[in-house]
This record gives sequence, C-alpha cells and structure tokens, in this order.
Amino acid sequence: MDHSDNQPRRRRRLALILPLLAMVTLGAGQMSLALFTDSETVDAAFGTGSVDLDAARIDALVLTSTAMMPGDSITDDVVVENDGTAELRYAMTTATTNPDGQALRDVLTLTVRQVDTTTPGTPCDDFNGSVVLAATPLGAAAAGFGDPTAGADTGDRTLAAGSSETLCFRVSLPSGTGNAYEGASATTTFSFDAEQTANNP
Amino acid sequence: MVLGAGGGSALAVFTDHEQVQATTSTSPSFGGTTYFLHNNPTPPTGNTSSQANLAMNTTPPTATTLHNYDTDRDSAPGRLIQRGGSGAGETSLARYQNWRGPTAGLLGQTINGTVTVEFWSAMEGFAPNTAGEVRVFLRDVDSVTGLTLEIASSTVSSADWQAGNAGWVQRSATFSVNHLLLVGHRLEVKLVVGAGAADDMLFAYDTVLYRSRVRVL
Repeated sequence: MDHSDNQPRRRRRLALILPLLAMVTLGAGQMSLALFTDSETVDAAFGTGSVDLDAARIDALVLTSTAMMPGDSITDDVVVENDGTAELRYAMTTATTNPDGQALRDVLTLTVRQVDTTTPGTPCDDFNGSVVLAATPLGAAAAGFGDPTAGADTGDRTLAAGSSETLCFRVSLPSGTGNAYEGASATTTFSFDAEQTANNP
Repeated sequence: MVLGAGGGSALAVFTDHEQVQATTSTSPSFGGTTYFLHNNPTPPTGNTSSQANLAMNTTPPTATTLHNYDTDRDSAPGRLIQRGGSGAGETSLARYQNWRGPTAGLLGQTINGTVTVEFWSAMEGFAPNTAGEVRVFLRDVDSVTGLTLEIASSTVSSADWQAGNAGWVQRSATFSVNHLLLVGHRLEVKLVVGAGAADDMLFAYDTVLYRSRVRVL
C-alpha cells in the first residue's frame, strides 16, 4: 500500500485540527472561570452576661445596736437581688472585730431565716421563716452560709436573673451573758459573694 | 457593681461582691434596775384598744407576737400616736402613751443616776425618709391624788427616722436624774410625738424582740 499520497492530506488535516484544538482548549479554559456565584453576610454580636447583686439593697441591712443587754436581739431584713442577666449563686460570710479585747464577738450569735411565713408583708417581725443559718456565735469569721469559693458549695443560695429573695438577720446577746461583756463592742462586716452558675458546677 | 471574669484560669467566672457593716455594743452595765414597758394584759395575748396608763415593771416580756395595741385607732401592730401632742400635759389619748412604775414604799424610792428610756418605734406605714420626733417625759405621779411633777424631759428627733430600716427602729433618751419618789408615788414615762414629726408614729413594746424599757443605773 502506498501511503505517500496520504501524507500531504494528513498534514493539511493536522494543520486544520491543531488550531481547532487550541481554540477548544482555550474556550474550555475560559468557560471554567465563568461560574454563577453569590455572597451573603450576616452580623453576629457577642455579648456577655452578668451577675450583679443590688448594692443598695444590701446596704439596707441595718443591725447596728447600742447598749444591748443580755437577752436583747436586733433583727432586720435584707433583700438579696440579682440585677444581672445570668443566674447566680451566692454565699454570705462575716468578719467581726474585737477592738476592746472583751471578745463580745464570741457571745453574740447570728441567726438567718427566710422571710416570715405568716406575715411576709412585714418580713421579719415573726422571725419564723425557714432556717438558713441556725444561731451561731459570730467569732472572728464563724457565722455565714455557703462558700464564696468558685463552684457549687453546700449552703450556697441561687437566684435567677432579675429575681430576689428576702432574708431575716438576727444578732442576739444571750440571756446568760456575764458582766465581763459590759461596755463591749464589735463591728461585723457581712459579705455577700456571688458567682455565675453557668459552666461553673 | 458588675464585675467581669477573672484571669485566664479555670476559675474565671463572673462574680460580684457586696458588703455591709454593723456595730454592736453592750450596755456599760448589766446592773441597775430595768423597767419593761408592757401592754394590758401582759403578756399580750391579742389585740386591745388603746389605754392611757400602762404598767412598767421588772418582768421581761415573753410574748413573741406584736399585737395591735390600739384597735380603736388603726389596724397595725403596736401603738399609734398622732403627731402634734402638746407636751407633758397632753390629755388626748390619741396623742400620748403613759407607763407607770411600781408604787414607792414607806421609805420612798430614790432615783439617782442615769435614766435611759429605750423604745422601739417607726413612722406610720414605716415610711422612709420621713422626719420623726418623740418627746419623752419622766414624771412623778402621786397615786392617790393623781397629781404629777415633771422630773425631766428630752426630745429625740431625726430627719429620717427609719434611717434606711424598713422595720422597727430602736431609739433612746437619756437623763441624769436625782429625785426622791415619796411613799405612794410612782415614776411615769410619757411619750408624745412632737410637731416636728412629719407623720404619726408607731411604738412597739412588750415582746421579746421589742423590749422597750426604762433603765436606771
């Protein structure tokens, strides 16, 4: 078979095909960049919650008393309110001074109850709500409930965001207090420490 | 106060801290004589209408409930005294309250020292930021004739009687007294609410918690 007559024909075909292939290749490349696309955006605001004890309401706890005699007590209510946006748990601790060395703090007792069950409108006059802290000598730092260290502790009290509770505090000088405590004084600091409950087991 | 999270430790949680202080002091002496202000009957067992002359004696209160001592005037616990009483001679029962001590015996009774009248009180409705004024009179009363002699007086006042307290507040008036109650005479304490009070005032007594009293040292 003589192929010599076909070679020019093949060359002509190749000369025609190669440009076509080049055009097709180029076209294909251009088409791969021509995609339908779209883009949307959305804003996200990241805010934190808060735990916030109402300072003014804590300040309204008035237990200062003068000239106490054995058998005397002073009682007042305190509203513990969570003004924050997250649930909190709180503890209450005390620190009592002994400025005259008479150790009055060792005989004064602190009792804490929930609001009266009979007349909650007058929160603590009957002092018959559930016991939160049984009568406990103040000591240097002996009386309190809960624990301010992080995490849930026995005695901690929980408040949802925006909620509050009324507690009744009573400081008593027991009837049997002896004359060694005449003319004595002590100052007690009541501390309320709150922490978030979320992610804080 | 809102506090942010602490450092980067595992204990970094949102926290808050508030505190309040209270100072407690005892009487300079646990001795002397203490007369507790009572209602009638005592110990109280229920509400009563107001009564002019109540008893004060050395028996401590035992009641735990503060009843209404003037059902003829209001429905609130304690005794309401209207403001604007004229003084020791006030005769309107709405505007004063008396307590009278034991009758002096044959040798009479000398009161020589510091007399302190401690009373529990409140503005009507426990209204905050309201001026209060209580006038306290010590008088010598002849039990037979009813004649009275003023021994001493004092005014206790405050521009904010409640001072942030939503309940009863304890106040006191102190006198330096040297007086002989003759046989048959009695010591009387009279409380009047002065015109300086912005409203009527309530008084609590004869309960374990509200031990209003007169101390003679």
